[in-house]
Amino acid sequence: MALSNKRLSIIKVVFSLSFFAFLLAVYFFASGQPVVSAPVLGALDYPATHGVNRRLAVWMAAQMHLWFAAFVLAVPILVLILEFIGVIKKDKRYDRVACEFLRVSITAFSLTAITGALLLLSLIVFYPQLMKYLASIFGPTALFYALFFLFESATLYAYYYGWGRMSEGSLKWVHLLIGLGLNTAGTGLMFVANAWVTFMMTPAGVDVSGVFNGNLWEAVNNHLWSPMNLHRFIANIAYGGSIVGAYAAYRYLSAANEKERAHYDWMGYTSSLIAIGALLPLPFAGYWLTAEIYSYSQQMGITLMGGVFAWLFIVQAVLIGALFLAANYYLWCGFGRGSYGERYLGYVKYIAFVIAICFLVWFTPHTLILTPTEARALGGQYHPYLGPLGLMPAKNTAVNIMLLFTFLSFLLYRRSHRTPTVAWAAYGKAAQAGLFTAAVINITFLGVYYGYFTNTLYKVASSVPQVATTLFVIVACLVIEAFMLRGAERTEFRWGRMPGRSQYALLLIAVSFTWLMGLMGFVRSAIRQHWHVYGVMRDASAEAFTPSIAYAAKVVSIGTIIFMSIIVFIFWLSSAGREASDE
Amino acid sequence: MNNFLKVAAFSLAVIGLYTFYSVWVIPPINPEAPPKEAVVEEPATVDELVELGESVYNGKGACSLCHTAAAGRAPLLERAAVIAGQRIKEPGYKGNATHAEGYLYESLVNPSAYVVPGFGASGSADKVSPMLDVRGSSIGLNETEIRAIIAYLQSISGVEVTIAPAPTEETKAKE
Repeated sequence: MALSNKRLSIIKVVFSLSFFAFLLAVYFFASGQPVVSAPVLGALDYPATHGVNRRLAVWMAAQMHLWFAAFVLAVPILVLILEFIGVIKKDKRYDRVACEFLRVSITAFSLTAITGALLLLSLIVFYPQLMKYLASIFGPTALFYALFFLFESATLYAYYYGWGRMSEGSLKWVHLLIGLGLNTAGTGLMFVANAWVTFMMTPAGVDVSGVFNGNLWEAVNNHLWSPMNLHRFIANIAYGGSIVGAYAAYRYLSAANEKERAHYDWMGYTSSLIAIGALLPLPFAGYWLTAEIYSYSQQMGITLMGGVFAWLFIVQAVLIGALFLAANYYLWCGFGRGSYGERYLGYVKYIAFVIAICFLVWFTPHTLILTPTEARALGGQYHPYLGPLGLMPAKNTAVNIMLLFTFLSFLLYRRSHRTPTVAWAAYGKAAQAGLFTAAVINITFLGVYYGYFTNTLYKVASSVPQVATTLFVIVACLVIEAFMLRGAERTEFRWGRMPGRSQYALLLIAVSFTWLMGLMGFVRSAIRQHWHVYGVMRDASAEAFTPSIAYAAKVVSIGTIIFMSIIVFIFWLSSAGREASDE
Repeated sequence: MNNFLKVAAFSLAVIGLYTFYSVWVIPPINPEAPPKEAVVEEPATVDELVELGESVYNGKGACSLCHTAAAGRAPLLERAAVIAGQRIKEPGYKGNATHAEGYLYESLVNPSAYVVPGFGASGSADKVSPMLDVRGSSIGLNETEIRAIIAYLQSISGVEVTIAPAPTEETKAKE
């Protein structure tokens, strides 16, 4: 086993160095290119592919790379946070679970590099003119990318292999610093890659005739760069948490004894908490991203939200509804870990009811697909009463209330093994109830006002005050809760006392996240329509058409199955490695 | 192994459900094929110019995406050519147009020269238009298409169409 581990390490290093060399080659290739105007392409500018669907090949390579990259960028963030908490709390459990998280992801790093190289290669082979144009603008960033990659690889191996040696005293802080360096490099890598991708959507520094006459920073800092950086950063954390949660769920179901079950229950809870915690601000980052799309081009925004992709957001609503229901279900099952949990079970049906109503609002389409007879009977394509539920203010209202009630489930879960004993506990609970009620009223009022009484241009304006309300209530309730539970009476709380079915909620979250990422990645790319670089460089290949949602769904499903199979293999490798080291 | 099979079956079932919903439950909508880059021939008559303007307005120009009552994102243009003549005389107008036709042209190629109150980009206090120069970006109209749109707007506003087809070699020779 030791030999095979060594061989595996050599393979990883070879792959990593090859990728690094590849990036350097791109840099040197690009650095010699003068800045050019976007070429007008014809069918002959695309090499023959001999039966290979070039777009499908690039799509699959990009999607695999994105899933792996999201996972390997997120896990070190979780690991660093857990390690830091462990140091502060002087609790070795956090340290152990952090190390296990990292072990799970270590093989995925190599696969990220491999899929990245595959993506780059397929782009250069299938879309040489596009790559030449992008490289002429972004060439110098390839050097940054390569350096970040090298630094990330070095810090990763130092962080992982130094875990045991740097576990005590001041060396532990050095270890934490290495972890910080690893995360900085990983995030930097993502930011560089995002610059290329977002430039293709919202090119900056390009004049009206398509000539790039801006500087590199202008191209990097285009309309979508910052919102995309934020959105991906948060989404990656949520995604990484969900995948580790699925790993813990599987290990929980396969646990041989109580101790192991308790460990994986705690691991599943911690990672799902991180996933759900990151999920809460994600819609807000999404609003910013969408607002910037509209700000850059109303046409692109309408294509996204009101055109052929409008129904994609109904599919998205189904997935996010499933995510929220699964997250809440997991929390409700967690009531059983504490002795006081039963007293809150009565509230579950009301929370479930509110979440279901919110889900239905989110699920309501704006434009109905009707026959001419149906449209005449209805008086148009919009339902007279339910039509406004298809608009953003209604969706914003639904998602904010859904977030608040998910947070309520979390508060009740925390009380399942604690009873506040401070003298002002009744007032504290009343203040929390008051805050919740006021928030729901305010969010609903804003939704109704902007949904029914303003013109289209200002309907999206409801999102900021609604988000502010939700965040304020969550923070305020957490502060009250923290003070109220000081010196609280604690009862027996046992990890591992979860029904097996609760673990399927964690699996559902991981699978749904993966599928959702694929779907949203598709729509982000598809709103460029028949453009390589929106409005600047037209796609003249045979595959320039915009795929339907059904087509995309099939591609995403196949990709998800392939990715999840590889992830299962990685989990198996990790377990095998652990068993070998235990022996 | 038993657990592995259960977990795999569950995951596949979830993926299958999402696929089923996306493929068979939601309405099948096939996006339009990419527009062909046809070479626009200079119209020979005013009617042809107006006809071209209408097709660009509803097609390549994507004007009707925003300038409709249903969308509500931009001012309605049914009387644009009439309003244009009044607007250039308003004290708040700071653009360079001196006549209605010039105002319409300016609105297409430099939309921020004058922003109709209530329709500015978010946070710009109606100083910046959310509309882009129609000659660039994904719209990419040429001069003939821009003139055709102005002719179409004049036509639907009920005013005289002042845009004439560009003289061809044949008409030049006759003159």
